[in-house]
Amino acid sequence: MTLRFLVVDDHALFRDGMVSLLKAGGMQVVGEAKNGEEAVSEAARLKPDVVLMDIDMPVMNGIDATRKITGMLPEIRVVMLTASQEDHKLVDALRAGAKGYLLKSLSSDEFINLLRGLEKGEPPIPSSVTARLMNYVAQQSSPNEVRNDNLTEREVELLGYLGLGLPNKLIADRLGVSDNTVKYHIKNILQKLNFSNRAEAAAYAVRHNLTPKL
Amino acid sequence: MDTAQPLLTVFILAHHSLLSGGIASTLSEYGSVLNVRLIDSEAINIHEIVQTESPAIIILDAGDSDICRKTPVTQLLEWAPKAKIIHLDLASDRIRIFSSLELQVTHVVDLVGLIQSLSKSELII
Repeated sequence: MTLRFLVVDDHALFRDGMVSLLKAGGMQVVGEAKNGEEAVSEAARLKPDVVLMDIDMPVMNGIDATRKITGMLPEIRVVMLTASQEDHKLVDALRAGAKGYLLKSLSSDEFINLLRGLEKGEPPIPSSVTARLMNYVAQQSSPNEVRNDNLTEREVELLGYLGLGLPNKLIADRLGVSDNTVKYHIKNILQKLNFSNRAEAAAYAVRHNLTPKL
Repeated sequence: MDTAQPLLTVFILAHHSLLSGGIASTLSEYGSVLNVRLIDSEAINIHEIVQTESPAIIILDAGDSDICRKTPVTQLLEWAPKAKIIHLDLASDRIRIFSSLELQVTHVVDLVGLIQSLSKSELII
């Protein structure tokens, strides 16, 4: 059965692009909304299978709208689609009832493939986001076990990939950044943790269970 | 008589950008007038692709600081002098268009004439 989508984003140009991509991917778009408030009313009216929801929007943000939609119509699957890399938004969205969390830095193919997983009951969450979530949970449950206080969330995420022994190119692909950005982060990680090479950093990541499950 | 217009080649330079993928998909619906290509801005032969194919239009996401830094407007116009560069700025719902114009100027008086023309917007770039 073709999934029916409601696309919610405050930028018309972005919405147009998503509608086009979804249709090209064989999915059906039943409506659009430009803020959370419109999303709630359109979801109630159109009863889509999936709502693709931006987070930062005027009038009502995507997390509040998600909470309302999933409370009112629990059969609707809300998938966040955001540029935000902030862990607290990810956690807030999932707590509000979101069934997936996609980043605007995905390629078109990754985006469509992850959404197709919904048909098989697979939550559309890229592995990089899963890794962030795991790190977040681990830090919440045992904040003193890891001496990575000075590292940014992105550096912790990258450290996990170093622990898996991934080369820069693969890490860059997974994080959706350039090779140079990966090199820059690695340099900062080595400095902050006082390591002289990436092997030490990788060993540290493994020792502290920072490696993501692939 | 064949009156068909040649397709306008449009490059969308991006690396992992759903906005650019969406724009490419939308523009591809106008395949009768546009030849749209989504080009990986991280490709090592990016300058060769742009120079060889000389697109009429090059579109970039202005919100992607990485791509704007790696492929600045001046560089793109050097590779494809006749191209129009379009920066999409979602944050303000605006686009900015950049182009270049090269003229022969052998005397200062030519320069003065050119300056006057520019000030009157008589030059269409």
